Amino acid sequence: MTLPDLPFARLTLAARGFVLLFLSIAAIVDRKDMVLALIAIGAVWAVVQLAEFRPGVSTGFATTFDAVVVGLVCGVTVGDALPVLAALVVPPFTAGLHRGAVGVALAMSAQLVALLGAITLGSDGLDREVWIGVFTWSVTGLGLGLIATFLHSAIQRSADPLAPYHYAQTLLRQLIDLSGGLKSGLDPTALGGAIVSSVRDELPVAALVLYVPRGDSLTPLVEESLDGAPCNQDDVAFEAWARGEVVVHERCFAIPLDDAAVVAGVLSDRLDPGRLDLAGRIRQLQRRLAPSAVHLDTALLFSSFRDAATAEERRRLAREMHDGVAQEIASLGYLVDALAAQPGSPAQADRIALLRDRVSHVVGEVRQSVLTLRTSVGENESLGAAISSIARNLSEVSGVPIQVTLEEHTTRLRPEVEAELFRITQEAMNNAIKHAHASVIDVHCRVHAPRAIITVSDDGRGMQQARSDSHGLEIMRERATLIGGRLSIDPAPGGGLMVTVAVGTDLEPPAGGDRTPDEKVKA
Amino acid sequence: MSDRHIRVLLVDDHQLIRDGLSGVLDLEADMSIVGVAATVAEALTKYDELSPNVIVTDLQLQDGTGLDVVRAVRKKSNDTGLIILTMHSGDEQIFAAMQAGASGFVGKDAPSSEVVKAARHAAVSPRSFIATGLVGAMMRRQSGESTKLSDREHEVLLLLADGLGASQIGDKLYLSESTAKSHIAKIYQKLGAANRAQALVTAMRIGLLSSIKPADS
Repeated sequence: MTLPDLPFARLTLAARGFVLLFLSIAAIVDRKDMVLALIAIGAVWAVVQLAEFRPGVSTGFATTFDAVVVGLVCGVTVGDALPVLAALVVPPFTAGLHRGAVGVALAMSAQLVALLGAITLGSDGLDREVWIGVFTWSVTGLGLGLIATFLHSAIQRSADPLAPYHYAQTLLRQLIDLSGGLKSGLDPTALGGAIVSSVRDELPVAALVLYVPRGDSLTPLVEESLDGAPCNQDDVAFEAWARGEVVVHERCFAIPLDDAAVVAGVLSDRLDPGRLDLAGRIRQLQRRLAPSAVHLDTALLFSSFRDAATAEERRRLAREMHDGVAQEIASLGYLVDALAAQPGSPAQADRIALLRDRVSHVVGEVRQSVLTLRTSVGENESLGAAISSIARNLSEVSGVPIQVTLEEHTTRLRPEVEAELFRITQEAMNNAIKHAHASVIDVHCRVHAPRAIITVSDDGRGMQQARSDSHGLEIMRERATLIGGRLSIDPAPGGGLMVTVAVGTDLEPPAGGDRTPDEKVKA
Repeated sequence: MSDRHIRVLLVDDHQLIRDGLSGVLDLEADMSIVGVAATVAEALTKYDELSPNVIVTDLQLQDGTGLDVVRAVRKKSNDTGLIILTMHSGDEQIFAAMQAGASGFVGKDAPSSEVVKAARHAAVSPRSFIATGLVGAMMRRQSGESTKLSDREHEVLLLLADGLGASQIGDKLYLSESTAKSHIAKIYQKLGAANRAQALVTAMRIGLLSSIKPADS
């Protein structure tokens, strides 16, 4: 009770000062004889006030004492000077500030008992006016006491040192609840799908695309083409986004949803756009979709927050591995070299040579991991560029040539989709080198946002029973599921393995790959 | 350089690497570590003080890179052997070291005998460059694996060579004009060209095209 008491003490000081001032003015104006009463009340308040400023003094006792004295003084002097009753409002107020509702009740009763006691003992037959005054000021005191009770709890709560933790806990719990049901809660694609279907329910459309901003441009999140109509509303969508208002060009329309998204579409040509109240319907739709836009925005924020956290963590890990463990293992290698310079026996020399080999191998592995951790799509100009760059690195380290073919449109995929596709491709290339002993790897990357399909094929050992990278395959499949994609693993024409990952489209391999559908897996 | 004894200055910001490597290099009869340094500034001061025959330097240092050491020393002397010793032995690093004027490039995963070999070479011919990965890196740079054109891009390239513009190409291949344009941009990028003429010349040179009709646009 020591720390949060200071604001209370200031409030009580203000209240007492104000009432004393009021009483003094009343005494001067009315010219009533209440100087003694004023001095008595002033003296008690000064003592109580000082006690309040000092930590450790029981406020319970102080406030009750205050109430009793004020009650007595008022009871004694009320016959001569009616305005002194105004002092009755202070004890309930200060008690409420210090001790809440209990304090108010205690102070009110103590004050009333003292007041009534003093009145009955001290005088004979008071007039109506006095009783009304007592009643009015007591009720006012009670009201102020209740206000003080509220202040008491408000200040008390904000001063609670655990309050920020409780607040954070609540928020985190909500976040976990939301992301727990990831499919519906914070999955941008699912939320986008919901928006698209509500537009479709409202308007007769032939095609619909939902765009979300990415940097200075828009990237499609969900695409739906009902009649196979050409879906080329990029420009309309961009215009709507830039101007922040609905844009309609002939059959094309685009509706911005706050800043979070733009939904654009082509109206079905079976209907006459003039006959249906298009503008009105779109306005209504925009209003109805406002909450969904907030949901979507939250989901996008959440995923970018998650990506940022992961990327930072990967960079930190890479730095730590490179500066720490990699250098230390390399230095171990030099110690082994020193041993090898003066071997005890030929057998020992062999063993030292073996040890040196192992050390070199471990350094190579660690270096590879650092490279893998360090490369991310973010710093490259496109997914294809990122894949090419990691392919070049891998091919430099392993000596296995990797051919990368890119067919990319300028519109980019969403960052988290790019990141997952990149990791899947990287894992597939790594597997082909490490486990399949491939001598050549072919990577084909076709991106047409929001659709993408990437194939990694090798000429290695193919899928064998219980291959050591089955765990890696499992992770790849999980990553694909995370972005609503599908992963298939098929035997490649050359005898190796072909890993295909597709997003927003069917598993149709790009030109040049004959696929047997046996092992097609839908994740 | 007068006698065959090689005096080496070792620059690395990792104490363990400095200790390990100097321990093993000192075992060589014709070699001795005359000094160690942890930063670029320290390395250059020690170089002036000790005038070693060979400097072996890490690439990543706290106040700069090993290439800074190489460039600074190379300005003063053509007789000092300069070896880059690094954890990142990618093609780009190899070429960068060569261009800066280094005499050799060794990965930290390689045994110290490689460092010894490179140091001996550097002491004798400091202005020629050796690195284990050099040949592979050259071949990769030549072939440019990742710049292979896709089938669609190849079709577009053939039409470009016929002198068609983006919209005509789009019509022919049933693409929108913007898609055709993005294909053309990708072709330019992959061939390292700034315009149509450069792209076609490069394509001819690397055998992607056999003939070019005069462009009419």
